[in-house]
Amino acid sequence: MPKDLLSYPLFRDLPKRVTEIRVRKGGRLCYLTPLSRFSTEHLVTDAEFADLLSFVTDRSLYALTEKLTNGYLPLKGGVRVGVAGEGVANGESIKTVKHVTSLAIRIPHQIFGVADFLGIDGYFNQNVLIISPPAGGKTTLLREIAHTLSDRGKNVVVLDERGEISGAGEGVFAMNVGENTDVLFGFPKKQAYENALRAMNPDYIVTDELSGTGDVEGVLRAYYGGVKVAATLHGEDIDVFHGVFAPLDKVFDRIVLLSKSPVVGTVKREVRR
Amino acid sequence: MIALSVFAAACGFFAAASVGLWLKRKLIRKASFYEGYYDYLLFAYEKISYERMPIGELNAQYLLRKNGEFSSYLKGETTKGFLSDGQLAEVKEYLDGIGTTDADTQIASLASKCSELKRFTETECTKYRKDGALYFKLSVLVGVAILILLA
Repeated sequence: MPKDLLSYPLFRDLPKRVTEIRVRKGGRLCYLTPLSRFSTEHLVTDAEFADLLSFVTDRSLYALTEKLTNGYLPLKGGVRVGVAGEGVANGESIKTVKHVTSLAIRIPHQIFGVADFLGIDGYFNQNVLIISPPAGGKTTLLREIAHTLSDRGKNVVVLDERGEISGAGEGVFAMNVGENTDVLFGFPKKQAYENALRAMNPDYIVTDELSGTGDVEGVLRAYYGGVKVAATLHGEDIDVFHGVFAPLDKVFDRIVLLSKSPVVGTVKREVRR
Repeated sequence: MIALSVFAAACGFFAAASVGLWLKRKLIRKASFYEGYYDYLLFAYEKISYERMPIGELNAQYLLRKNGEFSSYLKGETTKGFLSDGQLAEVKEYLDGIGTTDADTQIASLASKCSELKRFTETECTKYRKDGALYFKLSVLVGVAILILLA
């Protein structure tokens, strides 16, 4: 857990290997480790919740309004805080979120060697897709793939919109994503694909959580442009290539399906295509 | 005996003048504090409106360019003596509330508070300074009266 968060009074007694903390106004403080989910006896008071919100926003919620409308706040070290509350709509879009009632704090971990089971030939010069339900270990595996490829001399460009892969923040990376890695942090995905392909001359594009037509178009552009892609996608099974993701069926050579049980990051299935 | 009377008269004069000076300083510090508070909120309004500058950076920049009673307060130095507990609590409550809302709400709140403080500084702070000068003059007059009576 990052030092700042570790020192926060409400989290002082949590184990160091915590991967997610759930804070709900008036609810029990809960947390996840790679092994299980725990619920403490502590009921979070309104004052504690307000203070925590102030802490995670650096007392500057107004500076994060745009991020808030996307449902999360990025913190230093790649920590992402999911936010739930009352959305204020402006036509079709959300203008801001007020009366925040829940925070889901996700803490990234780097586990070196976690991709070794694939064998380097498992993803060297191949398009790799990692599938799992949320909090299944996708990003940790993806980060290690980026790190390994990069350290083996591949030009890796990480499209890290929320800074979760690289732990980017204020020009510093909290995670080791390899010595030949360039990170596009904070760019909207569509723009990030464009910039990466046009300007960064990548061998690999690494991107987390494919989520819509923008991602699909970007991956296809990379694929047809001869650039390899390592990506993650939310899913329970490898049968994910339908709907908006149907065009990606032909792209990926290697698919890894992860599960949360018995522990986060368990490889449920691995497919070579 | 005469020497004692002169000494007592001088002491009375200086005591009265000191009270006046203390009152004047207190009111001038109070005026200076509120003028600084207004200046700070104007600065915050600009920086938040156009740059969405986080509060930590905003405070640091403000303290670099401004000194005075309010800057001392921002640094955590004591403000005892010229602001009542109620006045301090009111300022603290508003400052603690900065950063707890979205950008639009924050900007609207700052604009409204700036207007309120502008009026306040134009009327009350001018009054504090005038009163301070008046109290000082009055206390000097009282001191002179003591001097005449006792000497």
